[in-house]
Order: sequence, then C-alpha cells, then structure tokens
Amino acid sequence: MKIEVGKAILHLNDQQSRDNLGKYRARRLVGINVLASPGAGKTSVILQLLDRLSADFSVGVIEGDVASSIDTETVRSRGYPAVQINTHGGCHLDARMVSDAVDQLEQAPGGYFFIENIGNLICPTQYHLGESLRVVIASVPEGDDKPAKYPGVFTTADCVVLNKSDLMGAVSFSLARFEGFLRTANPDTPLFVVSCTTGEGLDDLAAWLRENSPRPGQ
Amino acid sequence: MHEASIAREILDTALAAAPNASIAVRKVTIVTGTFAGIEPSCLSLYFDLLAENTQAAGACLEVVPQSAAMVCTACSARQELVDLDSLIAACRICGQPNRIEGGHELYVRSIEVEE
Repeated sequence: MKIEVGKAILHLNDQQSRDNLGKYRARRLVGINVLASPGAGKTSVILQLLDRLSADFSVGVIEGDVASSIDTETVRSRGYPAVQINTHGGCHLDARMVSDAVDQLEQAPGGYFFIENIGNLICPTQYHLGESLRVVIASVPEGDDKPAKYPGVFTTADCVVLNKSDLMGAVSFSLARFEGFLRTANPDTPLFVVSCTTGEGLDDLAAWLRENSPRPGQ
Repeated sequence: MHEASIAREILDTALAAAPNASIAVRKVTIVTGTFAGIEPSCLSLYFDLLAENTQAAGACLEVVPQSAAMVCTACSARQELVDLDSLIAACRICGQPNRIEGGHELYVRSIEVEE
C-alpha cells in the first residue's frame, strides 16, 4: 500500500529555524549566516564587520567549528561576546544547535550577530538557522573556479564576498572568470571584493548589510 | 557527510507516516533537487544502517532526482538543468543571462507499506 507523504526531509530543522527567527526578533537581533570553505577568512571578515557595526548596534558571534575554541577566544579578545559550538566531526550547524547557543550569547538587544558556520561549501547549504541574510565567502587563493565547482551554495547567497583581494597579484586568479562562474550560479547577488589586510571593500560590505537586512529592533 | 543526518530525518519521517508501529515499511521514495547536495549511494548506506531493527528494516530507498531549470531573464526560454556540469550563464537562444529556478527540493514523496 502506497502512502503519499510530501514532507520536507528537513521539516524539523525548518520549523526550528522559524522558531529561531522569532527568538532573535524577541531580542531585537538580526542573524547573519556566514558560509565558506575552511581558511577563506570567515572569522577575519566577521571581525572587520563587528568593528564597523559596533558603533551603532550591539554585535556578537556564534562560532561553529568541528573542534577548538580558537575563534571564540579571538572574538572575545576584541571585546565582543561569542559562543562556541563544537560539532565533534559534524559537517554543518543545525537550527537546534544555534538556538541553544543564542540562549548563551550575552549580547544586548538591538543588533547583529554572525553565525560562523562549519568550513564547508556543501553540507550547511540546506540547513536554515533562522538567519535574515546568508553571506557566502570565497577567497583568492582558493582559485577563481569555486562558484563553478560548488554552485549550490552560491545559488543561496544573499551576497558573496571575495576575500584576500590583496593576494590577487600573488596567485593566479582571474576576477572576470570568478565573476563569470558566479553569475552562472546566481545572476544578481552582489559581489564584494575585500581584503582584511588592506581594508578594501569592507566599508561597502558593512553598509550593504545594514541596508539589506531587517533593522534590528523593528 | 551530512547524508547521515539526512538519512535519520528520512527514516523518522517515513516511520511517522506509517499507519501503525507494527506494519513493515517496504519502500521510501524521496525527491532531491539538482542542488540538494545529496550523494545517493552514501545516503542509502546510512539509511540501511539506521533502519535496522525498525519497522523499515530492509526497506528500499528510492531517490528521484528533480531537475532545476535555467530560465532566461530576457526571453524566458527554459532549459532543464539535470546536473551541475550543465550550468550555463547565457541563454542558448538570445545570449542574455539565465536565472536558476528550483533545485533545492528535498522531501519524502511517499512510502510503501505491507498490505
């Protein structure tokens, strides 16, 4: 006997994601999910954004890593609240983990918090975390073909950041080729070319986030 | 390796859809979009392991792929995107940029239980 089901496989995570959004709103916080491969510079970009947003808003970070609390210690040493999630081998954050972590995040109402996902361009893609925006970071040393090799995650990006632009001359990388592949996966997502070393592009990125997310507290 | 988590969710969804807790589940059919990021053989391996000692033990996991589409932003010409390698930026007919539609489907379509 055949029984029609028609139910999303991740329906429990989807429901938890909606619950998370309600929880963030109750604290007048806006969540930003940051996805990238390991070493693309997620933490460095987040720190730059914290510095640019903290004058007007409360800020915080939820750090996802397989192991260690290195990133959480880095964020805290800059004076910002952070909570570490260790997945002990797990390849993505899910909405339940982030819900628990947000409860521990000592952040004042009215601001932004970043969810630094596990370094992985595949597995985190399908897991919504209650975020208002999804930022996908690639970096110059990874090569200009990243959006061609991992198109799925780029199709879900609200904005794409190309980090380590200061290395553009030091390694073989064609910005035109990168952008061509990106446009195939996602024709209209904004692209920010940034460097955490020179500061290039980071003011524009911070301004875009402010303009394109729900205003914290509303 | 998130196939393990996905297999767990598929099994839980299938077991919840069975009319009662003793009837054997013979087959579970899922639909996965082009961008769902699922590796079917890996998924089946985890599903088989997790289903052991449940009413879905030995059930067949059928994975039905669902194509995304590339739709031209100018002339609306539509082309199926069966796999990730066939992504093209420009419309074949008029050369304007394509936009991707769908491809993130990931759901349990049906189960089959013993009569």
